[in-house]
Amino acid sequence: MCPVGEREELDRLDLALHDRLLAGDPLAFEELYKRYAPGAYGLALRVTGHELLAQEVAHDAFLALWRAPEAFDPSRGPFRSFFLSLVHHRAVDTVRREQRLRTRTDRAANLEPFAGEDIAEDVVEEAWIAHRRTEVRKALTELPEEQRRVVEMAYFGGMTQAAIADELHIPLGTVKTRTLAAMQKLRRFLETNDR
Amino acid sequence: MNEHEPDSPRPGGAWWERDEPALDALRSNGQFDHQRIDELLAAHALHALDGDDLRLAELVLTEHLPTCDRCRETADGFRAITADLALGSRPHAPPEMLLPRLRMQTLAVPVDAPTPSHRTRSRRAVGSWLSAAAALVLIGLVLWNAFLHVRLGQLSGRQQDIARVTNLISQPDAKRVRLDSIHTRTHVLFGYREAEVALFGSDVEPPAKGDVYRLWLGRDNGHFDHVADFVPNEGVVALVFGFDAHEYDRILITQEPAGSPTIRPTGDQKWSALLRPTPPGGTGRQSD
Repeated sequence: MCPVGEREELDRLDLALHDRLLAGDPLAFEELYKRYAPGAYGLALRVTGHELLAQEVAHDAFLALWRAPEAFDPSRGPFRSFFLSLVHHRAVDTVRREQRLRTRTDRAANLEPFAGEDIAEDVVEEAWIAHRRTEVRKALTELPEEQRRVVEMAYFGGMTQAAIADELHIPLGTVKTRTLAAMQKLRRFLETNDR
Repeated sequence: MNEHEPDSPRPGGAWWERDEPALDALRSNGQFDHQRIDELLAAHALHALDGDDLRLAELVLTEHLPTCDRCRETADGFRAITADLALGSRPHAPPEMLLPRLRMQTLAVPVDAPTPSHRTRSRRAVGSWLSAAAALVLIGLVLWNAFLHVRLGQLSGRQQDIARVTNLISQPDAKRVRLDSIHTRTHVLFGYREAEVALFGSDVEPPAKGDVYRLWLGRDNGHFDHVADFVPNEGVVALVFGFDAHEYDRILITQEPAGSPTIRPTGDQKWSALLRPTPPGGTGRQSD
């Protein structure tokens, strides 16, 4: 069962911090950093596969937040979604710019496992985030292998669908079909568990 | 003028009144093929499109979604899922230097800013903060370069020194001064607060054999006090000393023979700066 009240409290706190950020409060910025830096850096590290690039991605994302906090529109979803999407986009852009720093074949064949993986010991997460993380991993592991693979290569590998088709030696149309099927299943699973 | 430039007016009214061959590609028997639209929306949410597919997806988002509740709801759902996917990665404690770097850049705005929004600050204040921000960015870059240097050398002891310097320099009440040199393009940063001073530099060339760099604080009457001697450690200077710098007017680093008297500066002047506001034609730069 998802602790929805806890999630709502988390979202309220984020909104309050964001309001303070709009007023230029650096302490609010530090609090948001404390809440989201491990997730942002972890995501950037997963996508880029490179510590220094990941640090640059996280740095740029937080700096963008500080410089233009009004980019977050609360009517379009929670702050968490906005910020992690920002991190993801920057990480993917970085990967595509820095392709020479990684071996796509290695990354595609060596995707980080979801099952049985604990978070770093020195990272303390909000209970709801930890709970949701478990659900996301479960949803991913329940996807058929070929569907999970295209989602992982796109989201965590930063690859375009054309690049995935090329990498897996399958038609682009197949990649599109698998991606849509995976996203629909993820949506059903995660929306059901979000209630 | 290219009629498809973002800012140029488009002919006609709504998209269905115009000739939109790209969106036509998504129609089948006159009806929109929602399976194909869903494929585009799913891939777009994953940031996995490029080329024609990306352009088509963006056209769908801007032209079709405003008129189609079903697709708008689908797009929102996929966006929410991709936001959740971020949680599929393992969280990691960020590197220790990340927050100090950000502090360097955000400290340009004081905590007790009197105005309610930093979008409405006066031009004068913005100009002042921009100057401070420029100096802080410089500090951040120097620190970052040094950090990369240290990372490569795997020298945890020096990381601690850098962290101590960073901590002092990033305190809201710390004063920060960049020391320039007529001999080298390398800058050295000096920070001080209460009874502590910090010195920081990267890519600093070592002094001649048998020499040291000597740090001095001076007053306008020509009196200088010796603070410390140092040599860069593989190009990095990251030092914190117990010393009250507030009563001084200038800072000076000279190169002197090791063990020579420390009564007054006699060696080559390497870096210098004023600690007081820079007069016209002055050399120092105060950045807080």
